[in-house]
Amino acid sequence: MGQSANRSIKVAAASLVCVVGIGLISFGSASMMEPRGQETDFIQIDIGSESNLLVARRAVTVGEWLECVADGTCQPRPGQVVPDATLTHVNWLDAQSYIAWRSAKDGVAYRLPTHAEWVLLAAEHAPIPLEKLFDAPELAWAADYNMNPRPLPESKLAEADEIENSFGVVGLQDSVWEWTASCRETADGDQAECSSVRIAMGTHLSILPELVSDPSKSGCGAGNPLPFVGFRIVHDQDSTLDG
Amino acid sequence: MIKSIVRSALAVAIFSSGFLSGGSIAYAQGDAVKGEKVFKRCRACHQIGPGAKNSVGPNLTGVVGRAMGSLEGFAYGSGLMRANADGAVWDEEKIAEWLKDPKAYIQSFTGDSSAKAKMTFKVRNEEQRRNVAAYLATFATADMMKDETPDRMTHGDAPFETKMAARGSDYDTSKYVRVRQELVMPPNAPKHEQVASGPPKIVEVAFEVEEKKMVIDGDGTEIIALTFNGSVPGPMIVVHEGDYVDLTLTNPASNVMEHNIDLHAATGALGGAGLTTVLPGEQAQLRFKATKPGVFIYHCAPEGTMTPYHVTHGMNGVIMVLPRDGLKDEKGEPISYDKLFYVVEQDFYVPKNDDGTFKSYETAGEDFGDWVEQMHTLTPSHVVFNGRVGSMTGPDALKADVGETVLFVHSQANRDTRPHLIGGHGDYVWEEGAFGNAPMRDLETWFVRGGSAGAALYTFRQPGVYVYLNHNLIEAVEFGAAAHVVVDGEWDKKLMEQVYHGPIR
Ligand code: HEC
Ligand SMILES: [Cu+2]
Repeated sequence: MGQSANRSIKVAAASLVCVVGIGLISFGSASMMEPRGQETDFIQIDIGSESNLLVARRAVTVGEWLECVADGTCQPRPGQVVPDATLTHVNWLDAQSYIAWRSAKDGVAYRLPTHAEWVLLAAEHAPIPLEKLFDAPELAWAADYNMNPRPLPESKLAEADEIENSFGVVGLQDSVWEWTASCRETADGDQAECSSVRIAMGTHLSILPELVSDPSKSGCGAGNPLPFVGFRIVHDQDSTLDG
Repeated sequence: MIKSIVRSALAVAIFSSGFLSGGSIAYAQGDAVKGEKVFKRCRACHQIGPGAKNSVGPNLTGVVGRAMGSLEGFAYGSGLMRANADGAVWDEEKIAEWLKDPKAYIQSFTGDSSAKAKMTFKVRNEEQRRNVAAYLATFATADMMKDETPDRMTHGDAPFETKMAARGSDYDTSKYVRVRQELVMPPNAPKHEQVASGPPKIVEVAFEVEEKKMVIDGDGTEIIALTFNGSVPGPMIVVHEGDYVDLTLTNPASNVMEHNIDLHAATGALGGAGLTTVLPGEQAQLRFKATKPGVFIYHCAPEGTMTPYHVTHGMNGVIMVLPRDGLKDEKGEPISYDKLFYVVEQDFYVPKNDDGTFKSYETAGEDFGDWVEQMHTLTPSHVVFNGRVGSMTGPDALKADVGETVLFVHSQANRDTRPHLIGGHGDYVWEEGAFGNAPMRDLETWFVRGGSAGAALYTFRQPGVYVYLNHNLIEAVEFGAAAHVVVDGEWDKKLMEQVYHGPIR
């Protein structure tokens, strides 16, 4: 199933022209006159649904975000100035406004992956639920306290950032957790009624309030907080927007 | 469902009587003990055993002997759906094959080269595949029906039941009288006895979280406050030592945020926060015993930055736990009060526009980024009593009579404060709020640490106007932390007299 991974799709954000393998597909009305913007590699992946999922090879970068800032839709985020770096310090709503902007711009219905999709993309290194710290049912509220060492020291960040898995997806194991569309773990559909909290995925599952952009502030109950949160965009195979 | 249970029961019967799992005779059965280790990886997507549910992958309890793709509520890929329609049933050998490459397996199994498999995980090592399949076979479908067993060990020591018994026979709450506390708005305290007249009770308290617009100063500055029962601060709760508090926290679906309650009077589970976290549309009920006498704060405490954010949006208040035989002076003699004034000091961090005016927002949480930035300066935009500047001044001034004894209960969930009654004193002061300690006598100003409540008892001796404030006068005058008490009665010349006022003599 990893075979489809090497068929990579490039979406040149500004020109709306996509290259699939060696063939050409164009989404919507292409305008070649616009300047080339940031490019995003999309990888076509079969995760068992009827149509393939197109997954951004890496998480949204600062450079991509800055384009949206320049366009007046997104807000500058603290410390997010190095264009090649993975974007962090964005909350779930920031991710949504970027996605809306980018979808309109590219004519593609981008979205966040669901929790289940993210795990299937990360299958070979999917986070294994922590051993419960307590067994007693009364202590369920404390059983998920994370006593593991901190996820990754910052010095390792750049290295892990480049680890590519067998689907060709990069950065699923680094210190930047990724927002998902889901608020709870569900087998499918994942679009259960979500209010104010969402799952962010990295080397462990974390449930964060939608408003939080800096998850490193430790709460009293969660144990080890995650260092950063960013996001990755995906889209379904036939998700060209009309008009 | 029923069908697959029957099949599985059959399969279990076959294993226990020593047969190899169905299918080919040549299949060498794996080692279930070793398989348990392999299964760790599967836990990323699958649950198994009592209480297991569908997760990213289907519940695997009883999967050996179960029809392929048969669990209700799981959206299988087209391959397993097809296999299910064909009546195929999992055995250890099939599972071992599936694990090698689920998509390739299901395509060849169904003879459909376009069949889909959702499981993107492969186990390359054949022995591991056989071992994990053998491990799966140790779980019968019947396990699915069982709930978590109560007789498990708590972290390696005494069984849970024994521990519960050791916690005291009074755990049976059926013999307690239940009373519902009628909550009132600050600065009032609910009706209560100072000396408990009967044995310990269960006191029911209903809190509903309301996210709502509130004006916090005379300029009309508005915030989307987060409140217990629509009030900043939350209503005061009053019980006696030894009573149970039975608190229901409701988060109506119309809200947008997650909330909970941490009561400093409660023991365990982060003061109850661990057991009361509720999303919009949820409700939690917590019962705890009030074991320590004193005045204690309670506040909302979701994770991380949300904790100070919610507390600085108004989600805090006081629970008073009186000694069963009432308050006592430093010699142990009973003392009492005629009135109680409930004062909660609140710091707000309202963000400003470039022109220096306060920003306003339409929905709860919209101010999050700006508010947190302002919080980081540790400089509040407002320090107020009971939710707004002037909540207890002018028409809303507190009232008392000469000769009346008032208990001032004062809390601050975040910052230190220094209550002072201009023109009066603290006759008896429990600075740390602990009624088990002897009160201090005759203080001019007392100190209430951030994150606590204190109490001061005073008998008014002169009529007139008193100012009760945080004696950081900048916070009191410029930021709003002040209240007025209007006292009626006869002026006592023995205590004070204006001897002269006029041109310099
Ligand atoms: C990355 C997630 C993931 C991991 C890891 C994973 N699975 Fe699965 N598994 C799935 C999904 C998703 C399905 C549903 C497949 C479908 O519908 O096509 C599934 C289906 C199955 C089924 C069929 C169940 C049925 O009801 O028909 C078995 C058996 C199974 N997995 C065993 C395992 C074992 C054993 C392991 C560990 C060695 C494992 N899986 C690891 C995701 C996973
Ligand atoms: Cu709250």
